[in-house]
Amino acid sequence: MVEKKLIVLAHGIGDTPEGFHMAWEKIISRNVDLSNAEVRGLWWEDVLDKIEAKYPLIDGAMADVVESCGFPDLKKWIGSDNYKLFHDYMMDVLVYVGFPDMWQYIHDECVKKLDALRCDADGEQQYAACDTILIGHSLGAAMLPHLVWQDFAFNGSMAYRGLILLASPLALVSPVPNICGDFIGRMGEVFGGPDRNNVLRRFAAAWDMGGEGRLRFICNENDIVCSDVKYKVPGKDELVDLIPLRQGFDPAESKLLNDEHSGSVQVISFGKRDPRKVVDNHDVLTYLKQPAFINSLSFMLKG
Amino acid sequence: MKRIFITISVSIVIFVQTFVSVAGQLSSDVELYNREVTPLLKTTTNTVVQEFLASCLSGATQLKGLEAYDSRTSASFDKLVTDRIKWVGDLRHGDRRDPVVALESKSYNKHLYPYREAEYVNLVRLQDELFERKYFKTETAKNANVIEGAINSHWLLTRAERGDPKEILKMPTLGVSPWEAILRFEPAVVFDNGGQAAVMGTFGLNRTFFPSVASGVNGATFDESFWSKNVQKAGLRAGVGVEKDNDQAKVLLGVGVQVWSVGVWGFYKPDDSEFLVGVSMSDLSKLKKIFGWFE
Repeated sequence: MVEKKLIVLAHGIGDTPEGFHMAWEKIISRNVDLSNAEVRGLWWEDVLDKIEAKYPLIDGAMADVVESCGFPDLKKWIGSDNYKLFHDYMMDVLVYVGFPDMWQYIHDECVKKLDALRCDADGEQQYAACDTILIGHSLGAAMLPHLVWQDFAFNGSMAYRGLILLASPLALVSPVPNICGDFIGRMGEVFGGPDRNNVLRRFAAAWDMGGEGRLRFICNENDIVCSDVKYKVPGKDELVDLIPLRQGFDPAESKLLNDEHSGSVQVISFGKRDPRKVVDNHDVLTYLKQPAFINSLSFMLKG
Repeated sequence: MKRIFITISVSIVIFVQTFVSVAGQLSSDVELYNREVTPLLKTTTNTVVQEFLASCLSGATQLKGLEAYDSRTSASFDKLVTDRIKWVGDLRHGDRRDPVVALESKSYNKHLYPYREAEYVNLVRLQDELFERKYFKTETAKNANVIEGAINSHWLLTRAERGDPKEILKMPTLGVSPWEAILRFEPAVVFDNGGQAAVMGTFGLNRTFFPSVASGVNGATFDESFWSKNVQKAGLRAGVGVEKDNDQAKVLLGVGVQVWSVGVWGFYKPDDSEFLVGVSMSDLSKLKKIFGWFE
C-alpha cells in the first residue's frame, strides 16, 4: 500500500489570511494528482504580526532607514502600490534577518506549527517527516530551509521527503553582513561557517543523501525577489537594476548546487521585465502553474 | 465485585503491555535498522560508501539497550549525528549516487530519526516558551521598541546563543539569555507634595526568572521555582526625566527597581536639591496621557 503524503505550504510576506493554502491547493490540483496526498497550510503570519506589534517603530524609523538604503529607482519607477508591497517585503526581511533572537523565535514557532500539522486531531503523529513535502514561497522559502537546516544539524538527516522553494530570497547578499547577516550567513552560524559556498554545498549534499529530486529552487528570472533582473524603464536607454543588492544565486552558486544535487536550481521565465509587473512576476499562483513546479512535485509524490 | 476485578486485571495487562512496548522500543528499532543496513555493506563495492555504512552501524550500535529519554541516549545520538553530518561533507556526489546511501537514509529516517526528532521538538517547545516569557508575556515585554530589539538581539549579554542546536539545546536555559536591555521612555508618578506626573528616559537591565530544565521520563520539562512562578521578571533602572511641578518642567535623576511592569524609584531633583520617591509604569498607553498633562 502506498503511504499517503502530506504537502505543507508556507506563505511569504503580506497580510496572508489563515486558510491561504486552499487557493494554492486548487491550482496545484489542476495539474498534479493529489488523490494520495493531503495539503495543509503552515500559516505563520500571526508570528510576524506579533513581532511587528512588539516593535512598532519598525514601520516608522526603520522604514526610513530602508528607504535611504538605496531603493530610489525602485520607488520612482514601479508605482506606489507595488512599491508598498516590496517595501513591506524588505521590512519583513529586515526583521527576519536583523533581529536574530526573533529569527530563532520564529523558527521555534514554525517548528511547533509544522509538528502540529503532521498530527491528527488527537495530537498523534499522522505523517512522518519522510512522508511530508515542504513547499514555500517568498519569505516562506527562506524560513523553510532555515527550519530544515537546524533540524538537520540536530537530527543528522534531511528527513523530509522534499523541499520546493518558489521565489526564494535565500541567496540575498547583505550589504552589511557584520550588522545584519543574510539568510545564508544565518545558516552558516548554525553550521557550515561563513563561507557561502560551503553552506550551499552541504545543504544540497544533505538532501542528496536521500536520493534524487528532493530539493528544488524554482526562480523566475523576471522576479525581483530571487533574480538580479534588470528592467526597461521609461526615459532610460539602458536596463536598470532597481535593487543595488544581489538577490539571486550567481552562476557559480547555481552550478555548485546542481553539482551536489542535480536539478536543484531551476530558472524559469514568466511575466515581463516591466517595473509595473514586479508583483505579478512574484505571484505564487503563477509559480504553481509552471511545469518546473508541477514536475518537481509529481516526482516527489511518487513511491 | 467480579466486574471490578476484571476491570483492574485488564487495566494491569494493558499498562504492562504499554510499558513493555515503550520500554524496549528504541532497542527494537535499532535492531530493525541494523537488519536493514548490514546487508547493504555487501551490495556495494565502493569502499568509501562501505566505510560510511560501517560508521552508521557503529553509531546505531551505541543506542542498543538504551531508552528513548535516557540521558545516555541523547549523548549517543549526538555522536551518531555528528558522524553522519561529517559524512555528508565527505561523500562525493558520485558516492551518494550509490543506491545504498539513499537506502541507509530511508532506514535511519524510519527507525531512528523519530526518536531524535521527538527530543528535538520537545526542546524547541521549551526554548520557545523561554522566548515567550522573556519577550512577550509581561507588560514590560510588550512595550518594547526597535532599539531594544536590536540591542537584545546583538549584545552578547542579552542575545540568545547562536550555533549548533546540539550544543545550544543542552545549555541550562536552552541558549536563551535571561537578561534584557531596557532603553525607553516610561511614565512615572513622583510623590512630591502629592502625586506629580513625570516622564523618565530610562535604561536598565531586566532579568527573566526562567524555570530550570529537568529531564523526565517523557523528555525534558520545566521545573518552576518560586522566582519563575511568582516574580517572573525584575530589573534595575537608571534614568533622567522631567517632572511637572507647578506648571514647570523640572529635571529628575533617578535609580529604580522594577518588578513586573511597575518600577519603584528614588529621585533626585537638582533644581530643589530634593530626594523623592515615585513609581513608573511600563505601559506606554499611560505615557500619552502624561504627555497630555504637559500641554
